[in-house]
Amino acid sequence: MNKNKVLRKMFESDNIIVAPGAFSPLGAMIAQQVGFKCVYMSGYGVSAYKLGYPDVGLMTMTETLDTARAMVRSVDIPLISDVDTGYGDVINMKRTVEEFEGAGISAIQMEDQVWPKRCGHMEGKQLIPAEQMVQKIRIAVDSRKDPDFLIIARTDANTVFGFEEAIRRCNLYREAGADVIFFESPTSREQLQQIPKLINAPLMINMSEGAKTPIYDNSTLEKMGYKLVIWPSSATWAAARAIKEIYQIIMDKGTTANDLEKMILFHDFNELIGLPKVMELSNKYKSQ
Amino acid sequence: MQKSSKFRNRLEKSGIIVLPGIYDAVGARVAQQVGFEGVYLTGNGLVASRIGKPDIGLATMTEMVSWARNINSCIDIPLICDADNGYGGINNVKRTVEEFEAAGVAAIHIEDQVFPKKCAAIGGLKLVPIEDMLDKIKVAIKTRKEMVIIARTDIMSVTNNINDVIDRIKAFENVGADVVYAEMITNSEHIKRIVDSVKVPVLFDIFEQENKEEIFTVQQLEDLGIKIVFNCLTLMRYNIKSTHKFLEHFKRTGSTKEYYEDIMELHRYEDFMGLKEENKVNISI
Repeated sequence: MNKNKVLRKMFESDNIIVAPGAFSPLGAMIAQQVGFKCVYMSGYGVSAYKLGYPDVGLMTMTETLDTARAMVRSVDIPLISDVDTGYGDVINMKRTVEEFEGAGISAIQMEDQVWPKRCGHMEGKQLIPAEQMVQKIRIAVDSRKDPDFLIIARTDANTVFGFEEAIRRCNLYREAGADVIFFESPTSREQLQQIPKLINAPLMINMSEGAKTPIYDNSTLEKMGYKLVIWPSSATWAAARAIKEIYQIIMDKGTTANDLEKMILFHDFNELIGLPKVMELSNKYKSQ
Repeated sequence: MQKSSKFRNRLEKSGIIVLPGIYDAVGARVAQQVGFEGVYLTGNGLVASRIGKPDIGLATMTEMVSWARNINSCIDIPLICDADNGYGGINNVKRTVEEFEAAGVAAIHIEDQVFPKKCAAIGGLKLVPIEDMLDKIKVAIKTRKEMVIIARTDIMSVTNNINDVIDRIKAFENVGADVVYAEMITNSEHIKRIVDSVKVPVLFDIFEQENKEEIFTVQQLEDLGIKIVFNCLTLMRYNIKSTHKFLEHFKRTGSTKEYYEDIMELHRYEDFMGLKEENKVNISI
């Protein structure tokens, strides 16, 4: 079964789908090894780790695509990718769909912000009219070749225009053909509980620690009625903290000798990154 | 000296600068061999040749930069490049300038269209408010080290009023644009007005349209006071037409003999691509 079909089937099952966020192929590989059935590529994380930029629309479509393609190649589980606004208007959206589907990504998530966009939990977001987003969803749906390549439509309206407008947009986007709806940044438990009652579609929810939405566990979100939960930035922030900690140790102590337990060391890391497999292949195809 | 500094110095000297519009590395090498002092990399032609799509803002900034870097690397003359609208807001313009300059591009032009942009000849253009464009120019000037910043307005395609063009380019000059450029200017009276209204060098794009008599020559443009001239799509349009003609002939007759005189001799082709120089490098290693 191809990866798109695998993800589509997961949406047909009763359980909530849990996608940890990754910002690199290695992150996706770790997610797979831990046992996750799919992984989410966070534009916020890629922009930070690949380019050293905050998530304000500085990363281009093709840079995002390069990372997504490498992640797809690194794992057997389906990849859900952030594609920001689709990087322009409807015609750019068409190219974005063609490129991401062609690169083997299984689902893309697009939002109704003006380009250049901002992270959903930042201030100063500007939105395009709902009607324009509807057209972008329509062209995305019409441009995909595989009906199992999923289109996830996100609205950023809650923190800009309020709850009602956000709900209205979600329902419009569903009617336009989006497979999954993502109500970005619910700001309270009440909103989180209301959303599944007001939108008739598979729903995605975002657990972004320290941002606008209160954090719950996967099973609570499942009971509330969500179908897909992403933990988009957990690894982004945890990795940054780990890096900072080890650098501080080198700076302060002048050695890492007493802090080895903070690292995955040489042999284990080589295993993690797949060196044994590479060695096995080199032996198998040795010229003599 | 860096090519951007060379180009900047060249602007100070007398005489018009002629930049043939190219869209790939081969075109750039031919232009250099013929003796042009620089080349212009057209966004329209680049998008057409690399992804086979019209010029409606489909190529990403990083694609443009990577193609520009390749082309720039195979020539010694300065490359002047189309950078559309800077690919977003002022933060995007800042990154655009950094990336093009790091790729070795000598000058870029940035236009006042909304994102995603369209080719001026396509129609249906939308512009950003003048204040937004001035912010973009300011951030571009502040960000660049040596690269020449050319500010372009597309307002003629929108309002068809030369006074609007004059207002915009004067404003561009006031915030520090090195060169100004108005797209879709078709008569000498308008060119004269533009040249007279600013002190900075003015760029002109030779664009062949329906009326053959309206096509400017370099001499005419120099007499009008234009400092830089390029023809953004001429070579692309010429090449498509001749490719079409040749392939049609080949399909019809199954023979290339009739075009023998027009086909570059094999040894010349190898010389042209620099095989001798490459071989020298191999030997010296």
